[in-house]
Amino acid sequence: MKPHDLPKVILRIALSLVFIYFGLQQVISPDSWTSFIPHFLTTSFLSANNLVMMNAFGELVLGLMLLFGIYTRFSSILLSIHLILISFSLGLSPIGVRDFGLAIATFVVFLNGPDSYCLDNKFTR
Amino acid sequence: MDKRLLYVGLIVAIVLVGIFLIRANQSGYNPQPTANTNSNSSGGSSTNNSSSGVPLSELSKHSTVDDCWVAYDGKVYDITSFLPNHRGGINRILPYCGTADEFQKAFTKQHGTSKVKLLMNVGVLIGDFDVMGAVQ
Repeated sequence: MKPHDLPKVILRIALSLVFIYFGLQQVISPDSWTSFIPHFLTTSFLSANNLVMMNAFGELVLGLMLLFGIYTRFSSILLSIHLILISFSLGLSPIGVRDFGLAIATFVVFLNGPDSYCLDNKFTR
Repeated sequence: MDKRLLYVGLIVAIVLVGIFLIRANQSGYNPQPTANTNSNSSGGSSTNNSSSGVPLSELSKHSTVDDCWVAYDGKVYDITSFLPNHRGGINRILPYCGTADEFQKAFTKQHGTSKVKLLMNVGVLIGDFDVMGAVQ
């Protein structure tokens, strides 16, 4: 591994663990997250609980893709947009500002592209 | 074919199985009510309606923050003591105190069936809801 690649690897893995952690939390305890779901998204067929589970599924899949470095740019830009939307829906609150910071950090992973530990390199060489 | 797609498929499968196993492990939904009895009802004006059920006229009297009854799935529960502990705030439940259909629709829309067990645990079971009385 090239020395200048180390920060990229750390940033990618750390962020992916954040997404995986929150995804797991949503699966384990979806009720704790339903209050974050905007009312206009819920319908009689799609309860807030189901929306949390769908969100958890997306975060877990994309988080694992980011962890292993599979489609690194694709997964990181999707997660970044996802967090940007969440932070704007939460507004100027501690959680909203935190998510905005995480979104920018994830966008940096997108800008960096695959590092030397990503599986992307193995398949694109 | 891009081998990365295989890995993505593998990840999706693992996540799906994982979610299913976690949810199945946690699923404690029991259609049989396990709520408390009305021996410690905080409603203050609880009545013994076990024989004929609680009519809507009686249910609707309990619609305040200090006395909140709701009907769910044919049962009437006193959830007064739970109101301060509701994560979404008291004001999300208060409009539905003293109601049956309105509460059930709002409850199902927000929680699906995931909170049914909680409702039965935190709610004090008053008795059966007199559905015929509500229709009349």
